[in-house]
Amino acid sequence: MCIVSEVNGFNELIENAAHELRRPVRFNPALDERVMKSVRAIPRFGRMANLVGWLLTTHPVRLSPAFGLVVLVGAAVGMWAWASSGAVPEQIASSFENGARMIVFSLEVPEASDVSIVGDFNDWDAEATPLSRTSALDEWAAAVPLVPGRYQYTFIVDGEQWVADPGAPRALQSDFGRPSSVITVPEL
Amino acid sequence: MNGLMRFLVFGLTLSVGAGSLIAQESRLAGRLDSATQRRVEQLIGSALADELPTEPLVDKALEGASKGAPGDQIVQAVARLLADIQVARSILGGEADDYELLAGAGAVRAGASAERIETVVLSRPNMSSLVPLAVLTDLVALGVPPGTAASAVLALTESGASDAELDNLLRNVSSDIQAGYPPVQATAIRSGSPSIVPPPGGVLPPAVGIPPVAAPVRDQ
Repeated sequence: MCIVSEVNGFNELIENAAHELRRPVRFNPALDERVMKSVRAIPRFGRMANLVGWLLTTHPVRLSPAFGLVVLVGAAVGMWAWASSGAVPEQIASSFENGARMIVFSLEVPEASDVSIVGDFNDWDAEATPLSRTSALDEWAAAVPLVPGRYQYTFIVDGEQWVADPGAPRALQSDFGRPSSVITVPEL
Repeated sequence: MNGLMRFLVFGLTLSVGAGSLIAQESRLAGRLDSATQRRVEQLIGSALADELPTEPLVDKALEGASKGAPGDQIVQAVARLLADIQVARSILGGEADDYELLAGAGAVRAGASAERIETVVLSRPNMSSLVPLAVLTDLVALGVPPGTAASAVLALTESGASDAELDNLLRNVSSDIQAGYPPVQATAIRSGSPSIVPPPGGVLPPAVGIPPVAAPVRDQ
């Protein structure tokens, strides 16, 4: 019996506290106005500033492996398209660490069965730099790393026909009766 | 101490020179007959003694061997190239690098006067003269007279043209000549040089796909 009386007293206490908490609190209207005035006085940043802030803040990014693969393939295709569009100088495709550049030599001889290039860059050795047939234009091509300088060269078609590069200047004077072309690789 | 240093530097120079000669001998061995190889090596030795580049001489000998030229013809070609390089050195001076010397030798062979070559080089202070001299030589190879070629190159270098612009001059002139225009006319118009008087003729079209260096079309 005594226990029941204590419980009833506790419930009454809780009920009174809840009643007090449920009662609406009324603030002084002047206080309300002061608070809002202070809030308005805080400097506001534009959308651009917010964007910059967002960009400068680190955010966790989650990508699915499939999406990452698509991004990688897209980047590779873009770089290939840029390289094939002529944005890179005609023969100069990329740079090497030692100042050399990769020069692509090509010759259109679809009927040939074997093409090589000889020149100052390979000791005029007919077996040193064979050209490979490209799939697109029936061209034969080879890439040769060259440091800046001036080089004479010529193509050998089917082991016996010496052909000057139609896309390059001829060597001024052929000392040995067979045609040579010349390429100048400028210094960077 | 100074004496020791001099001895070490001399020894090092001798070693490098000897090493270079041995390396080049090995490249020539088996490609030239022994008599031709010996004569070519003498010329290489002369170049070494004059501190001139020897690599172009070896390349020239190997070119001759690859093209099946007789030994005498190979030796003559190497000797002629060495003479051209020596002249180029006297024009360009000791500061010219090997690339510039070889390009200068080409310009000498093309028939450009020493004065013109020097003027072209001086018109480009602090810049490589490799491309201007190469373009000069290549213009002559296209049939442009040496004096006209030198004036055209000079007109561009004096206006601060880049290597790419000089290369464009060569491409444009080459394309015009292939289209049937006389070399002097094409060079005069493409370079815009006032010192070249183009012969009477037609109007050149702009080269397809190649930005012109100077005004591409000009009324005669």
